[in-house]
Amino acid sequence: METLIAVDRSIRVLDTYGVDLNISGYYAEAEQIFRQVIDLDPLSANAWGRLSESLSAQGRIEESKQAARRADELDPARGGEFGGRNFDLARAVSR
Amino acid sequence: MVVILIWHALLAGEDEEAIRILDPVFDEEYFRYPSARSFIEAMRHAETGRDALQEWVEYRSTHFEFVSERTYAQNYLLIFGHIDLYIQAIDSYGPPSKTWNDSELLEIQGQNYPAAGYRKTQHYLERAEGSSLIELWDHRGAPDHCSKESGEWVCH
Repeated sequence: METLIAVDRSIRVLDTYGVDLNISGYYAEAEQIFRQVIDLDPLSANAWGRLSESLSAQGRIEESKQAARRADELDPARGGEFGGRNFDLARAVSR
Repeated sequence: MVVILIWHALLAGEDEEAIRILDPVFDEEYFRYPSARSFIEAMRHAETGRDALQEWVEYRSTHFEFVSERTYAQNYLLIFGHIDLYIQAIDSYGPPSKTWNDSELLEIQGQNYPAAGYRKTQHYLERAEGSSLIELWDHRGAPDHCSKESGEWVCH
């Protein structure tokens, strides 16, 4: 459980850092951060959505669309949302 | 996250694709418009689209509690090509801040969709100056979408 909490914290820190990088215009760095989050939590719709936005900011539209579709597959109920923090500890426990 | 797909489609002029994506999530939040098609066609109308869009944004602003609901609608000002109205919407939240404020919910999308053209505007650079982004760029290095030309930042 402690490991999962540590992973959750890592994801939150990375997510915040990635968003800050993206807002600041360091889109390629933000992309790498969101890919790290996805490595930690491949089923995070939020992370795929963030990745989609960083790719869009770089003008990589087709890749952005693919990431957005993946986010939607993972969490269709949040289809209209931009993001938010949705790392699911319960889901991680069940893995 | 389908909103990302809708905005990519609208920016590319692929309205049929946008309608196809928006249809399943279309609801009463779109005011007097009964379908995704009627909504997008109304907003695209050459003569009345601008007014229709402003009316819808006003409706969203007065009927939904959360700032994110308002900024979601205001982002369509940019997506449908009315950069002047989009800039007015940003400015309505006050001057840029060094800490998070509501206008960032709008400005982020202007950055994330370069095809919309906002990053090229003087307004974007002025907000970047006011929020200390330019100070950051001078200290940390140029961001991906800007460079310094003759001592002045130019973004694309």
